[in-house]
Amino acid sequence: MKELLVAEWERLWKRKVAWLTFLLVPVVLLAASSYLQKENGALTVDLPQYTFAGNFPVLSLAEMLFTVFNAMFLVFITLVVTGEYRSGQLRMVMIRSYSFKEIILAKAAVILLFNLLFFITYFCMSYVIGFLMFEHPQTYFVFYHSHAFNIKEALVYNLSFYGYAYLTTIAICCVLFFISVISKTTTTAVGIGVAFILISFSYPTLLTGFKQWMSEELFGQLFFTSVPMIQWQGITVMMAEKPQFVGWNFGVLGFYVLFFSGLTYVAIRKKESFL
Amino acid sequence: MTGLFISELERTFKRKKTAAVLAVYAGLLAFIWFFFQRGGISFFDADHDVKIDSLNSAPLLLRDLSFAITFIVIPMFVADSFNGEYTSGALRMVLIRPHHRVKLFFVKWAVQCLLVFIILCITWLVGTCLGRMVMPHVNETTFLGGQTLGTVGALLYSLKFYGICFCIFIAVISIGSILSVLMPNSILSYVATIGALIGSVYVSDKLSFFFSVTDSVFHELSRPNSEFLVNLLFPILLISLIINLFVWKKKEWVG
Repeated sequence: MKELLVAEWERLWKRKVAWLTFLLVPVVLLAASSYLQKENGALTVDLPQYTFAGNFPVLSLAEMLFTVFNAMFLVFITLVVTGEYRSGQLRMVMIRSYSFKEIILAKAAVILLFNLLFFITYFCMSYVIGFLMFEHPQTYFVFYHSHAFNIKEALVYNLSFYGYAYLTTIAICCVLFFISVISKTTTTAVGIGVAFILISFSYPTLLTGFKQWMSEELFGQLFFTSVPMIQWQGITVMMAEKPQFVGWNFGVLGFYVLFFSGLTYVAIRKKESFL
Repeated sequence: MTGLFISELERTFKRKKTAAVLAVYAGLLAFIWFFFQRGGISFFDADHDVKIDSLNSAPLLLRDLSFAITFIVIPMFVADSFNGEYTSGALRMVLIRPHHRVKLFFVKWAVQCLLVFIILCITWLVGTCLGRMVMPHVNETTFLGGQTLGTVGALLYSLKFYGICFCIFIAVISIGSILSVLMPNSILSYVATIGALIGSVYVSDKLSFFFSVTDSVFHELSRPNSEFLVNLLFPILLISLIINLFVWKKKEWVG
């Protein structure tokens, strides 16, 4: 199993895309910072949306989490699962005495590790770019908190925000893994993945039209059944001074993880692995 | 040329995906229509809502479906046709014949445009005919910008609307085909196409029509004399076609 993990890890890093993704981190952050600087022009300093060096990691992640991050997982999971399977690259691994389940598990572990590395890089780079591009006062305000945060508190806040964000990406990864395993070609896999993300965006927006007929509680719960919406707003709500929807959001994430990894398990048991 | 065209069409429909995507699109059409009838309200853009009636239902129907077309249907078809066939080797049999490369490109491009054209025709027919039959009957309707149009005017408006949308979709196809030829595999060409569409919003506000297709078309049609087509869309189309030809000819086709 250890050799399998190492082999997967090496095959992942053999791709130029993997290196390119990490080189893209500063570019993405610079794009986010120029956007947020433009936003700053229209805001006053006491608002939580106003970007400082201290909250730039959180604001830039919130900006990019459901676009760049989800797109990245889509690319890598499809490349590693459907791409390798369909191009026949996986044959060399499958002629050894590993079961298909072990191979998929190794792939999942490697992707999650890669994901973790990406999050750490993004976090460090965002602090660097934040201090270069924005002013850094002693204290500033954070969403749904009445008192101002200093740099040390902010660091803890940012770290836990990234922790929650990582958890949501695990749920996304589980869904995308299932899609990649069942898809016959790579474009189908990407297409269904994009459709999943688009649907997860659009039904909560549709739901806002019916907001007046339901209670605040129920609306929030239905709204946060979609993982991208948890990524977009749920995390800040969960980390408010009076946290809301914490249990619900964790329940939803847990459901996504368990349900879709269960489906993947069923799918790979039925899958013929002769190439 | 006709033979090439037929062969391209056959190859396109040999992929089950093409038929499946069209079927899913039809399902989506029915689903959105169901919502139309129940809700009775749609939006020109995020700030302007409107009551659906028998005359404005065709443009409003496309508004809800344009996302699926730009982000799922077109990138998938283009990535499959321009990249998938080449990387999987299906194009080899075509490449060994003595055809001009440029012809091959135009055939592929024409087939993609044809597919989008069929999709738009179906959407327009459904929107117009069902709108006439089912939606509350009116003699005149108001579009964004306060234009009040009668039956014929609204029909012309919807045709103009679909025409501009078709031009935007052709531009998306052309940009997608450049990226598909440049990228090493179909996953990356798919994602690069979507990335280019979303990234265009960050480049300039004027380019946001790639992302929110119909909203910007409504805005364009609400202005009395817009030069959007002549100044922006056609140049983009032309330049992307030239780049396409250049890239397509320069590529080393080694199957």
